Amino acid sequence: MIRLSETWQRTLVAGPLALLAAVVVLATLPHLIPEGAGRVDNLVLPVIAFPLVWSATFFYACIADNISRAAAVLAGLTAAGLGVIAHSLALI
Amino acid sequence: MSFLDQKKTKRLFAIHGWSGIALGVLLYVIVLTGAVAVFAHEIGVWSVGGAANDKGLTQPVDRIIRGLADKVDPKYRDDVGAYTVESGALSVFFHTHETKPNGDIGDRGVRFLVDPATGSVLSRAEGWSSDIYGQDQASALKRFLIDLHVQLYLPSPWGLILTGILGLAMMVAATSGLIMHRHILKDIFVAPRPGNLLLHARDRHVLAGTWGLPFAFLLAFTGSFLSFAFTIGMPIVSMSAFGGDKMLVGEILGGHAQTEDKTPAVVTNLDAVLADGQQRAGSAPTYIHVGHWGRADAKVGVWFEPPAGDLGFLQLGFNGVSGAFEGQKPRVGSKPSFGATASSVLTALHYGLFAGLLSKIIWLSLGLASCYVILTGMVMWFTRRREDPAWAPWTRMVPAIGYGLPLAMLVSAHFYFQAIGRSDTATWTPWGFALATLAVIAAAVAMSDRVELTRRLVLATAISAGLLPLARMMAGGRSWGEAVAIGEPVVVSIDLLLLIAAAALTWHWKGSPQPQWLRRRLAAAAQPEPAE
Repeated sequence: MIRLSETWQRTLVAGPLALLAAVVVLATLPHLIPEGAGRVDNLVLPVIAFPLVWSATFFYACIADNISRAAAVLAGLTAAGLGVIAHSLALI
Repeated sequence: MSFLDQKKTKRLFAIHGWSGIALGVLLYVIVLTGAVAVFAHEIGVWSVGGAANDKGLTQPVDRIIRGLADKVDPKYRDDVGAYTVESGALSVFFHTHETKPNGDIGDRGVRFLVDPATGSVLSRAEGWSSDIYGQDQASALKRFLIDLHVQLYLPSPWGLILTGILGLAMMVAATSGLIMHRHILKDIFVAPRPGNLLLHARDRHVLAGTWGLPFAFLLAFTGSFLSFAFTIGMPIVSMSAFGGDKMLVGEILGGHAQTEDKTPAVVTNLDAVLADGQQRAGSAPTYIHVGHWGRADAKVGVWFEPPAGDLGFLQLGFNGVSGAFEGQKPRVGSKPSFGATASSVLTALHYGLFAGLLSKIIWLSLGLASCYVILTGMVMWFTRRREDPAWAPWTRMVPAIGYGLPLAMLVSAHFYFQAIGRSDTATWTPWGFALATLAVIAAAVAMSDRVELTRRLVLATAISAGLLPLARMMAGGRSWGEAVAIGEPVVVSIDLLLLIAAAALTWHWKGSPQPQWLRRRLAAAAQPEPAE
């Protein structure tokens, strides 16, 4: 079994995994944010939040003490987001 | 300020450096062209020599638009947009929304350019809006600079995605710079230490970076939002929440009427609507749009310059048949909302147009300061590695891009003026930029002496800037006397700025260190002749 160095593990978590988590959060937020009076809050606010969400996931992965825990947190966030989307689509 | 241990600080330092060096060149292109693009309107006015008729939409346009509507295919009367271009001509675009061959929704129709004083049609073009506006010759220089900033002159959506990624990289550089800062208050007043090149570059980088941090983060965040909004953000959101129905999402964002009434009806008097709106807004109208022309459900939207105390452009809505005022319309959606306000504020903060000339000058200055931070960061990176043979040749990259980019932008303007009046101005303007870029790269590869390369690029930039006002006038542009006579200050102002820049660069060139070959020759000449 290939054992990755900590640098490579952190690169994978801060790179692809942090991006995936941010994209899933972007897709999840329309189901969580109310559409508001103009019927656009659930569309516009996730798009505005995307760069900030990615920055948060990226820097969290960069400065976390335990990279395995960071990977688990981001994977959990992704799974929870996918769950919310699946639940919302099932209700439509 | 830093709350990180040494290991994490070191990690962030590496991220800060690599994010800057890997994307620094493109970041510099984005930031410098963005700083210049704040004055895009003024550059457009300058490039066409100003407008003899600058009344815009405050002059009667109803009769002209109504007359043109009778001449177009009824299917293109779905939407009509009108505004005045930099030359003073009235642009009227009758169009409908259709699906392009690539699946995107686009505007297809007929665009007229009209003399608003006489009503005579100056030009007529039919097709997709992107093709029509892309071939507009008079605004080619302005559009090229904006396109370079917005999407690096790459095809959509790839250019936008790349500039969005660059925005994220700038956010990373700014945030990591802030987090690992140990003495942020002290560094606001740090004095660059003379002597040691690395320390001097570091102090200048820290000083400019500390002052510019909030601005750099703001621009990076808002730019990233704008680049990703319609390339990644909206497609993902519409796929997740609306099953990918782009047309429905477009309708919701546009705030269009949900109930249709195709009963034929006469469109209200647009001059009366413009006058009414101007009185309500207290600022000049910039754009008028009529949706569902000739139908009972017609709507008129009028955009105004940001009123005093407001950040964004103001949009007022009117009934398209009765002309009755229906209220202020948000940037997105049908009613004011938090999302619409947030979107407007972020867009206004990115463009920097909200306080007229003052905010434009501040945005330009802070943009140039960010360029300085990028360049000094590169100087530090290469200075640390100057003993490494693999990195040594790359030290020439700093002057090559630092002076090369402004030089290439000036050369593109020279090409624009040489081609103006022809049908291929929009083609030659980017070619001028590309050829100048290739020449700078060739010079950077050929010259091993960084000092000599810098001197030559400074001189070339000075000559290019100094000759540009002359090139503009020789291409048929208005002289200073003519520009003053029509009350247009922009033409003279930009010409003067170019001449001042040329003089400053010439002064810098004269005072800069001499290249090695000249130093050797002078040293040889100073040696005493051997006694015979």
